[in-house]
Amino acid sequence: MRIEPPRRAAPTRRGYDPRVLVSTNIAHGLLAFFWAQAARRVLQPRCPALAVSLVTLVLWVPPAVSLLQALQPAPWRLLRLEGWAAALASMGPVSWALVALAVGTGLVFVAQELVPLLMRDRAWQRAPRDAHPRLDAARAAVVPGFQALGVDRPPPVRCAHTRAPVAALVGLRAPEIVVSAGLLDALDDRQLEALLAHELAHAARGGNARLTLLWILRALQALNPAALIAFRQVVEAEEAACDALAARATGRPADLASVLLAVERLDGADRLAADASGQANARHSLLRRRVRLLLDGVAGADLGRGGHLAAAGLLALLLWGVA
Amino acid sequence: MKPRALRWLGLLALTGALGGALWVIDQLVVTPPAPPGWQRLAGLDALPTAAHVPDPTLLPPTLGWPPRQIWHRTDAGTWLALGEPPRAWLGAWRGDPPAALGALAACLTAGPACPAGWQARSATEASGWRRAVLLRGDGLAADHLFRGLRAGPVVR
Repeated sequence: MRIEPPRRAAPTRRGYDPRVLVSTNIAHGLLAFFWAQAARRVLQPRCPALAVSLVTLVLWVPPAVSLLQALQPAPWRLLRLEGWAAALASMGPVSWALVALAVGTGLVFVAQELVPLLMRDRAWQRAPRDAHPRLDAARAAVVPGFQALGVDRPPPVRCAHTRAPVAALVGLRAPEIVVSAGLLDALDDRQLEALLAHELAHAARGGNARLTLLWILRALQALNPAALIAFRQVVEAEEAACDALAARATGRPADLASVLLAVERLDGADRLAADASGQANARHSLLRRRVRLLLDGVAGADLGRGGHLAAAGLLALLLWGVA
Repeated sequence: MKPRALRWLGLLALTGALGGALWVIDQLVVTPPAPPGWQRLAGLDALPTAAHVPDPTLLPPTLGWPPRQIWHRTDAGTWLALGEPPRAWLGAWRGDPPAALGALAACLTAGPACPAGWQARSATEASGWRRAVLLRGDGLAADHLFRGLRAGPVVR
């Protein structure tokens, strides 16, 4: 029998080993994602604002719990991760599959979110902008509806001199709504009001500053597949939540549905219809869901800020014991 | 729409059910927790600096390192399990061995009677602390392991 000195791993302080941090974050993310999906089913499956509120928790609660665990470990353990890590390590192919999943998730983040963000065509944002009487009239028509919902400082609206059919809320600190001249010409007044209501809804729900913060949280968890899926769900549900808020403020959901279809047509529906790629299919599917939700109506209400924090507390309590 | 209280009750029940399910699955999949009165540690680096720890200087490669389970009690020493399920236990302790060793504890009492396939080697230091090797394997391997254990320091 061969006897050799024990092979000992270099001592590392638990919680500061990057492998422990990443694997704990992935475990927390997957559990949080499962909890959020189940909570959506339990609460209101047809309320997009509620979906945003719950899925957003998947992005910020796991890092917050990791910090909490570094400061104060939980007095109980629901899952003993070191035991699971040992069990998985003993199953060679399974542990390598998990490593491949984490690396693959990181590559997907770089290829589909980081690179496109850096290379995105912002030519239309650089086009000259100015006020336009039709936009001013449409804004004046929809702002009272938002003020009744508690939005006190709606951003200004400008027309960008480009034919690209775009409308967006731009800017972080002093946001403004930009509508392209191409889109302005293609929509009638009622559609224009519905479009502005949608963009005002983005501003009312925290605008680009909130989404940028979520993107940073998502980037910090680039290896976490739950963060990848959750961020996409948040972005999609955010659009539907803004649709619902706009429909509530104007009382005319059908107008906004017609805007969505018109923009899709202007954006090259023929080209998109011929494109059988997964991305095109996903875009069509999202459009169908948004139109259908507008026409069928939204059920239920959001959690509200206090409810969001209370739900975060419940989830944090669950994840705290997973260490 | 459901009443608000019912929604929160649902969320509370979901969280409790998920936590309970996790705990049950964990208990089934991961090895049992430390015996009552003992503390289970995540790694050797979590041991106190002055702890009594069995420190083997020689180890068969089949057993693997680091230990899969570490039980520690400040006044009663430390037990390390190698392999999953444990194929060897190394102990530096005084008093009675942990009852959770089950039938293996009988190896360390007067008139040793180990379960079939297990070998036990133990010695008592002048200070009253004891060291032991419990190994599922042949006697020669247990002798080698115990020799290595006795050569090492017992206090970190």
